[in-house]
Amino acid sequence: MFNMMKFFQAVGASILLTVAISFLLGFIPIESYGLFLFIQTILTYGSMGFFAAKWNTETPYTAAYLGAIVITFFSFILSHFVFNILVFSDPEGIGRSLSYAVIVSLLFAVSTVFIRKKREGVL
Amino acid sequence: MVREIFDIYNRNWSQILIWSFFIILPVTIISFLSMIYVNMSEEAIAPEYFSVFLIILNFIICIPPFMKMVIAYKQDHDINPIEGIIYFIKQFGILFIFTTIFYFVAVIGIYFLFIPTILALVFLLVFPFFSEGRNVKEVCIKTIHAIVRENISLIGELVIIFSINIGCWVVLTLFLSQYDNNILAFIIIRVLLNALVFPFIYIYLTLRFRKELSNPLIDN
Repeated sequence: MFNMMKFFQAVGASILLTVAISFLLGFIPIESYGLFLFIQTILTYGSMGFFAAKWNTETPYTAAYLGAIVITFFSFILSHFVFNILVFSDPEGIGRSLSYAVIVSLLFAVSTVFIRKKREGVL
Repeated sequence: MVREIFDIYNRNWSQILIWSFFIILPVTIISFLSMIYVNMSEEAIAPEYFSVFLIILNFIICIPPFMKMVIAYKQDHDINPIEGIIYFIKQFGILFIFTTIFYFVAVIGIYFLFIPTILALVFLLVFPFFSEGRNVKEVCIKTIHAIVRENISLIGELVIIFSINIGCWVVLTLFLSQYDNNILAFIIIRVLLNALVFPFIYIYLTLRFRKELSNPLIDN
């Protein structure tokens, strides 16, 4: 059974972790812009997949998928309404960012479930 | 009522001190720095809406540990500071998502004679105190019951909270206006103000809304 409260918990923990670690990363001068974005992607969507698989044990993949979609949607809304970046005029970019988010999130969810099953001795 | 609030504050001051340092301080610093960042940006459309959103979010997401403290006090228990921080992390998601949705409703409601705005703000004021329910439907039903029970006086609560915040802030900025200031000084003053004022408001609102305190807290 899909648990909505646990799903919200996972989204919140992911956003909180992203905000905290990005704030700390801001003090480190990273030259490469791509590396910074890579760290952010792994951090946000990876933690989303991890928490979804940890707290929503019955439906980990659905929770990871929906959580990645929700967080990406929040970032679109933020960039459109606050920073006036015209993200909705670029469908290719939207498709790319959505697919990257879902891939990273599902990858972390799959590995978390795999490790848990290995530890329980099912596999 | 006032005597009870001070009683709870005195009995739990160590937890309140730790939470002020580990929850209210980082939340206030991050929200105000992002507010300054958006206001300085050239491309921002309407930074005022975003600033008000961050002020409301700053008020709402610090509620859960203090609410749990009051409920534990009413049941003659004691609460660990670490427990409160974990509870804050667990409750962050639902508070963030509901605040975003209802703030959007409130902003759109400006075009409809401010009626949806007032309803959404009242909902935002009440629902954090019922956010630990088993599912979303239960949270909404409990919140609507509380709104119907308290009825029109909730608008008074809103006015009081906004007035306390704005009044204290105006007094402090008038006090500081003669000195040579920078952003850090303003943020530190704001953190001090939040750490002083917020726990009293939270304790008061919890005592006000959670009438059925005999129910045990659902731990998720």
